[in-house]
Amino acid sequence: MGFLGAAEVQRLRSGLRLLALKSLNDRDRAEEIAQEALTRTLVAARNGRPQNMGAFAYGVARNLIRDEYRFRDRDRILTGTPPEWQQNPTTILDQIVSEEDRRRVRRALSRLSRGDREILRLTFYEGLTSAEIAERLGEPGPRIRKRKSRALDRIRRVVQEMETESR
Amino acid sequence: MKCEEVLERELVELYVADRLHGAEKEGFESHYVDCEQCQDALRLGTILREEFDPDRIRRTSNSARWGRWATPVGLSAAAGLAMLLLLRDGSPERAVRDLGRVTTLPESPTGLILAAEGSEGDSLLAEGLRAYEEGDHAEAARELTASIRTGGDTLPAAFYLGASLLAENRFSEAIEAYRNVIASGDTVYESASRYYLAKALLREGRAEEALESLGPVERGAGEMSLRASSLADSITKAARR
Repeated sequence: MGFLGAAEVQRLRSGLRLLALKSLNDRDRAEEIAQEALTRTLVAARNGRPQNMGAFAYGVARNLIRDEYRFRDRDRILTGTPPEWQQNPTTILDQIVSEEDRRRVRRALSRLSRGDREILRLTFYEGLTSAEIAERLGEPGPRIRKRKSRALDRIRRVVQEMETESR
Repeated sequence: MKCEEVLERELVELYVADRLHGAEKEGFESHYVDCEQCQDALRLGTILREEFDPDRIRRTSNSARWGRWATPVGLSAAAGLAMLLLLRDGSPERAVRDLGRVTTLPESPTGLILAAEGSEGDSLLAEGLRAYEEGDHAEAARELTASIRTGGDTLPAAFYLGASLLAENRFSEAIEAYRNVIASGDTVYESASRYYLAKALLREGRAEEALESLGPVERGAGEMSLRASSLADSITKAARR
């Protein structure tokens, strides 16, 4: 497999960080685990071992995250108190996107029609699939899927325009 | 796994909503760790989930949005009285009116737009707030007035109606809108309403009433109180020129 390019390393680092944050909700530990998993992946790549780099990196990170869960359980049982990350919970959002990004998305969202916003709310907040939303709203599934896709495209476009304007 | 499959099975959406489990979840995680497009989709999905969280909307529309304005500083009654005397002695009315100019209107109320749903009044409120956010203050004033008449959530409607009227230079109507909000008592809108009411009053040259409106805001704490105090001081200085 050989060495990885800078773009591939950056992509893996970002993906591992997302995974660790989503699993642990603890920025510091997530950074450490992502870095450790990335290092092991790069060493393995240098030795020409993994065929699928993403799957290999994921496997390493998954094991590290499981170890972290075990450590937390032991800590909680021994000390009788929740670990610090549970006492001071933060949202994963604060750690993966900037306030500026959130503001842009918020503004883009406000430009959508009420109906499209409701579809996105049912999708991302209530966790419904297009078929489930279609059933609830009494509309054909393919139409819901299309509206959702268009609404997301519009948000991306508006956010991109705002980014361009701010440069 | 390929991105087409992620799209087809709506895996990003399900993952963000914590509805993906077992092998399906591991399969998707294994994919996105090395996929820039899916990572971007995950970030956007995570923001959207947060934006639609009722707790966040409540925080945004109440304490988070207004908390920083909620508490004030103070101009003493004696200073206020002295200033009023100065004004009555032939004060520079134009300078006072200039202090009523509004350079920064209240922040766009996206959280309220997203929260508004249900009745006709609420729907008009959402439309009005959207027009306000887009800078169409004349349209915002129309929609918000209609919302109040049809029984929407009158407090935010009246507050943003005041801001829209202020932007449109319709000062006497803005004054009436803000007085309606203030009459509701201790609400999250009260301090900001008192501040902007003072601005509208100044535009009409009514410095004495502006100071009365600022008084309770000054006695609190926070950014709005600082603004109120600063405005009150400026009125005093303008009157002394």
